[in-house]
Amino acid sequence: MPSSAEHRVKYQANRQLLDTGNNGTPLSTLDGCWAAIVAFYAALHLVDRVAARINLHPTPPGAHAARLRFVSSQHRAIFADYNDLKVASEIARYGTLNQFNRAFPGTTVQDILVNQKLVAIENYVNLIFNPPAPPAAATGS
Amino acid sequence: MITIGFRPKAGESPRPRRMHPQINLFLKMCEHLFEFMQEQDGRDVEVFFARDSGSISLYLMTKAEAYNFDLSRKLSEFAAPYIDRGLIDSATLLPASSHEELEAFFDPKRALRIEIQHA
Repeated sequence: MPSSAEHRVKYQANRQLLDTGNNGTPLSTLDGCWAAIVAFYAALHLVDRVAARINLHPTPPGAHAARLRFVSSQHRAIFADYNDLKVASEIARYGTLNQFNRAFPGTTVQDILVNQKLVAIENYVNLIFNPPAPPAAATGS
Repeated sequence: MITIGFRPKAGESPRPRRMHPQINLFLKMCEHLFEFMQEQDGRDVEVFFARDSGSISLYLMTKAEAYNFDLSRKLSEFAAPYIDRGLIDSATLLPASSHEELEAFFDPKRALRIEIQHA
Protein backbone atom coordinates (compact mmCIF):
# COMPACT_ATOMS: atom_id res chain seq x y z
CA MET A 1 0.00 0.00 0.00
CA PRO A 2 1.30 3.50 -0.74
CA SER A 3 2.56 5.29 2.30
CA SER A 4 1.47 8.69 3.45
CA ALA A 5 4.63 10.15 1.91
CA GLU A 6 3.95 8.41 -1.39
CA HIS A 7 0.46 9.88 -1.50
CA ARG A 8 2.04 13.27 -0.94
CA VAL A 9 4.25 12.76 -3.99
CA LYS A 10 1.23 11.78 -6.09
CA TYR A 11 -0.66 14.83 -4.84
CA GLN A 12 2.27 17.08 -5.77
CA ALA A 13 2.41 15.60 -9.28
CA ASN A 14 -1.30 16.26 -9.75
CA ARG A 15 -0.95 19.76 -8.35
CA GLN A 16 1.92 20.56 -10.67
CA LEU A 17 -0.10 19.33 -13.64
CA LEU A 18 -2.99 21.55 -12.53
CA ASP A 19 -0.76 24.59 -12.20
CA THR A 20 1.36 24.23 -15.33
CA GLY A 21 -0.35 21.66 -17.55
CA ASN A 22 -0.91 24.10 -20.39
CA ASN A 23 2.64 25.08 -21.33
CA GLY A 24 3.28 26.58 -17.94
CA THR A 25 -0.19 27.97 -17.40
CA PRO A 26 -3.03 26.27 -15.51
CA LEU A 27 -4.46 23.10 -17.02
CA SER A 28 -7.95 24.62 -16.71
CA THR A 29 -7.07 27.09 -19.48
CA LEU A 30 -6.56 24.11 -21.79
CA ASP A 31 -9.30 21.70 -20.69
CA GLY A 32 -11.73 22.30 -17.84
CA CYS A 33 -12.84 18.67 -17.74
CA TRP A 34 -9.34 17.36 -17.23
CA ALA A 35 -8.57 20.09 -14.72
CA ALA A 36 -11.62 19.06 -12.66
CA ILE A 37 -10.53 15.43 -12.78
CA VAL A 38 -6.95 16.22 -11.79
CA ALA A 39 -8.17 18.53 -9.00
CA PHE A 40 -10.24 15.69 -7.59
CA TYR A 41 -7.36 13.23 -7.73
CA ALA A 42 -5.10 15.76 -6.05
CA ALA A 43 -7.68 15.96 -3.25
CA LEU A 44 -8.04 12.18 -3.22
CA HIS A 45 -4.33 11.74 -2.58
CA LEU A 46 -4.47 14.31 0.21
CA VAL A 47 -7.28 12.30 1.82
CA ASP A 48 -5.39 9.06 1.30
CA ARG A 49 -2.31 10.72 2.77
CA VAL A 50 -4.27 11.48 5.94
CA ALA A 51 -5.85 8.02 5.96
CA ALA A 52 -2.51 6.27 5.52
CA ARG A 53 -1.28 8.10 8.58
CA ILE A 54 -3.59 5.90 10.65
CA ASN A 55 -2.99 2.85 8.45
CA LEU A 56 -6.23 3.16 6.48
CA HIS A 57 -5.90 2.34 2.79
CA PRO A 58 -9.13 2.52 0.77
CA THR A 59 -8.94 -0.07 -1.99
CA PRO A 60 -11.29 -1.06 -4.80
CA PRO A 61 -14.03 -2.07 -4.93
CA GLY A 62 -15.71 0.53 -2.82
CA ALA A 63 -12.68 2.76 -2.33
CA HIS A 64 -14.52 5.97 -3.19
CA ALA A 65 -17.35 5.16 -0.77
CA ALA A 66 -14.83 4.24 1.92
CA ARG A 67 -13.07 7.59 1.46
CA LEU A 68 -16.35 9.48 1.70
CA ARG A 69 -17.15 7.64 4.94
CA PHE A 70 -13.69 8.40 6.28
CA VAL A 71 -13.98 12.09 5.46
CA SER A 72 -17.57 12.36 6.72
CA SER A 73 -16.76 10.66 10.00
CA GLN A 74 -13.32 12.05 10.82
CA HIS A 75 -12.79 15.17 8.70
CA ARG A 76 -16.27 16.66 8.34
CA ALA A 77 -14.80 20.15 7.86
CA ILE A 78 -13.67 19.27 4.33
CA PHE A 79 -16.48 16.91 3.40
CA ALA A 80 -18.42 19.41 1.26
CA ASP A 81 -15.28 20.57 -0.55
CA TYR A 82 -14.14 17.01 -1.23
CA ASN A 83 -17.62 15.96 -2.36
CA ASP A 84 -17.87 18.89 -4.78
CA LEU A 85 -14.56 17.90 -6.36
CA LYS A 86 -15.70 14.27 -6.59
CA VAL A 87 -19.01 15.20 -8.21
CA ALA A 88 -17.36 17.62 -10.65
CA SER A 89 -14.92 14.91 -11.72
CA GLU A 90 -17.81 12.49 -12.21
CA ILE A 91 -19.67 15.00 -14.38
CA ALA A 92 -16.42 15.47 -16.32
CA ARG A 93 -15.93 11.73 -16.77
CA TYR A 94 -19.48 10.45 -17.22
CA GLY A 95 -21.40 13.49 -18.42
CA THR A 96 -21.35 15.03 -21.84
CA LEU A 97 -18.94 17.84 -22.65
CA ASN A 98 -21.85 20.25 -23.03
CA GLN A 99 -23.25 19.16 -19.67
CA PHE A 100 -19.91 19.82 -17.96
CA ASN A 101 -19.43 23.19 -19.66
CA ARG A 102 -22.93 24.27 -18.69
CA ALA A 103 -22.40 23.11 -15.12
CA PHE A 104 -18.98 24.76 -14.70
CA PRO A 105 -18.90 27.66 -17.16
CA GLY A 106 -16.07 30.11 -17.79
CA THR A 107 -13.40 30.06 -15.12
CA THR A 108 -15.49 28.18 -12.54
CA VAL A 109 -13.10 25.22 -12.53
CA GLN A 110 -10.08 27.36 -11.69
CA ASP A 111 -11.82 29.94 -9.51
CA ILE A 112 -13.96 27.61 -7.39
CA LEU A 113 -12.91 23.98 -7.80
CA VAL A 114 -9.16 24.63 -7.70
CA ASN A 115 -8.70 27.94 -5.92
CA GLN A 116 -11.40 27.41 -3.29
CA LYS A 117 -12.28 23.72 -2.88
CA LEU A 118 -8.87 22.17 -3.43
CA VAL A 119 -7.10 24.95 -1.57
CA ALA A 120 -9.41 24.45 1.43
CA ILE A 121 -8.45 20.77 1.54
CA GLU A 122 -4.77 21.59 1.10
CA ASN A 123 -4.86 24.05 3.99
CA TYR A 124 -6.73 21.57 6.19
CA VAL A 125 -4.32 18.72 5.49
CA ASN A 126 -1.33 21.01 5.88
CA LEU A 127 -2.51 21.85 9.39
CA ILE A 128 -2.69 18.14 10.23
CA PHE A 129 0.88 17.50 9.14
CA ASN A 130 2.25 20.87 10.18
CA PRO A 131 0.28 21.99 13.19
CA PRO A 132 0.99 25.49 14.41
CA ALA A 133 3.54 25.66 17.14
CA PRO A 134 2.00 26.09 20.56
CA PRO A 135 2.30 29.59 21.94
CA ALA A 136 5.52 30.12 23.74
CA ALA A 137 5.19 29.92 27.48
CA ALA A 138 5.17 33.31 29.14
CA THR A 139 8.49 34.04 30.65
CA GLY A 140 8.53 35.39 34.15
CA SER A 141 10.17 38.69 34.76
CA MET B 1 -45.61 13.61 1.92
CA ILE B 2 -42.97 11.31 0.54
CA THR B 3 -43.90 8.83 -2.15
CA ILE B 4 -41.52 6.02 -2.98
CA GLY B 5 -42.34 4.14 -6.14
CA PHE B 6 -40.98 0.68 -6.78
CA ARG B 7 -40.74 -0.63 -10.30
CA PRO B 8 -40.40 -4.43 -10.20
CA LYS B 9 -38.26 -6.07 -12.81
CA ALA B 10 -40.11 -8.06 -15.45
CA GLY B 11 -40.57 -11.67 -14.40
CA GLU B 12 -39.61 -11.02 -10.80
CA SER B 13 -41.86 -12.98 -8.50
CA PRO B 14 -42.92 -11.33 -5.27
CA ARG B 15 -41.49 -13.00 -2.21
CA PRO B 16 -41.51 -12.05 1.42
CA ARG B 17 -38.31 -10.41 2.58
CA ARG B 18 -37.07 -9.93 6.08
CA MET B 19 -37.24 -6.31 7.16
CA HIS B 20 -33.79 -4.77 7.06
CA PRO B 21 -32.81 -3.49 10.50
CA GLN B 22 -31.81 -0.17 8.98
CA ILE B 23 -35.20 0.45 7.39
CA ASN B 24 -36.28 2.62 10.31
CA LEU B 25 -33.19 4.74 9.92
CA PHE B 26 -33.80 4.93 6.19
CA LEU B 27 -37.34 6.16 6.75
CA LYS B 28 -36.04 8.70 9.26
CA MET B 29 -33.64 9.89 6.60
CA CYS B 30 -36.55 10.23 4.16
CA GLU B 31 -38.38 12.41 6.70
CA HIS B 32 -35.24 14.47 7.15
CA LEU B 33 -34.88 14.68 3.37
CA PHE B 34 -38.45 15.93 3.12
CA GLU B 35 -37.69 18.72 5.60
CA PHE B 36 -34.45 19.50 3.77
CA MET B 37 -36.21 19.74 0.43
CA GLN B 38 -38.91 21.98 1.85
CA GLU B 39 -36.22 24.33 3.08
CA GLN B 40 -34.66 24.37 -0.41
CA ASP B 41 -37.93 24.83 -2.29
CA GLY B 42 -38.03 21.25 -3.54
CA ARG B 43 -40.08 22.11 -6.57
CA ASP B 44 -36.88 22.84 -8.47
CA VAL B 45 -35.16 19.58 -7.58
CA GLU B 46 -35.76 15.91 -8.37
CA VAL B 47 -34.60 13.32 -5.85
CA PHE B 48 -33.49 9.76 -6.57
CA PHE B 49 -32.06 6.87 -4.62
CA ALA B 50 -29.97 4.77 -6.98
CA ARG B 51 -29.18 1.18 -6.09
CA ASP B 52 -26.11 -0.51 -7.48
CA SER B 53 -24.45 -3.69 -6.24
CA GLY B 54 -25.85 -3.35 -2.76
CA SER B 55 -25.00 0.32 -2.33
CA ILE B 56 -27.43 3.21 -2.18
CA SER B 57 -26.58 6.63 -3.56
CA LEU B 58 -28.60 9.79 -3.21
CA TYR B 59 -28.95 12.06 -6.25
CA LEU B 60 -30.51 15.49 -6.42
CA MET B 61 -31.01 16.94 -9.87
CA THR B 62 -31.69 20.64 -10.23
CA LYS B 63 -33.55 22.31 -13.05
CA ALA B 64 -30.69 24.78 -13.41
CA GLU B 65 -27.87 23.88 -15.79
CA ALA B 66 -25.13 25.45 -13.68
CA TYR B 67 -23.82 23.51 -10.69
CA ASN B 68 -25.32 25.02 -7.56
CA PHE B 69 -22.44 25.22 -5.05
CA ASP B 70 -24.68 26.63 -2.35
CA LEU B 71 -27.11 23.73 -2.60
CA SER B 72 -24.30 21.20 -2.90
CA ARG B 73 -22.83 22.40 0.40
CA LYS B 74 -26.22 22.06 2.07
CA LEU B 75 -26.64 18.60 0.55
CA SER B 76 -23.24 17.58 1.89
CA GLU B 77 -24.17 18.82 5.35
CA PHE B 78 -27.41 16.86 5.13
CA ALA B 79 -25.85 13.66 3.82
CA ALA B 80 -22.59 13.45 5.78
CA PRO B 81 -24.13 11.87 8.91
CA TYR B 82 -25.92 9.24 6.82
CA ILE B 83 -22.77 8.44 4.85
CA ASP B 84 -20.89 8.23 8.13
CA ARG B 85 -23.42 5.65 9.37
CA GLY B 86 -23.22 3.67 6.14
CA LEU B 87 -26.86 4.24 5.20
CA ILE B 88 -25.94 5.77 1.85
CA ASP B 89 -22.67 5.61 -0.04
CA SER B 90 -22.71 9.02 -1.65
CA ALA B 91 -24.72 12.17 -2.23
CA THR B 92 -24.51 13.86 -5.59
CA LEU B 93 -25.95 17.09 -6.90
CA LEU B 94 -26.46 17.00 -10.63
CA PRO B 95 -27.29 19.96 -12.83
CA ALA B 96 -30.21 19.66 -15.24
CA SER B 97 -29.69 16.49 -17.26
CA SER B 98 -31.56 14.77 -20.04
CA HIS B 99 -32.70 11.19 -19.50
CA GLU B 100 -29.72 10.01 -21.56
CA GLU B 101 -27.31 12.13 -19.54
CA LEU B 102 -28.81 10.82 -16.30
CA GLU B 103 -28.23 7.23 -17.43
CA ALA B 104 -24.50 7.88 -17.34
CA PHE B 105 -24.71 8.21 -13.57
CA PHE B 106 -27.29 5.63 -12.58
CA ASP B 107 -30.04 3.50 -14.01
CA PRO B 108 -33.17 5.67 -13.74
CA LYS B 109 -35.38 2.62 -14.32
CA ARG B 110 -34.08 0.95 -11.17
CA ALA B 111 -33.81 4.08 -9.06
CA LEU B 112 -36.30 5.12 -6.43
CA ARG B 113 -37.71 8.52 -7.23
CA ILE B 114 -38.73 10.50 -4.18
CA GLU B 115 -41.72 12.63 -4.91
CA ILE B 116 -42.33 15.51 -2.59
CA GLN B 117 -45.81 16.95 -2.79
CA HIS B 118 -46.42 20.51 -1.78
CA ALA B 119 -49.62 21.57 -0.08
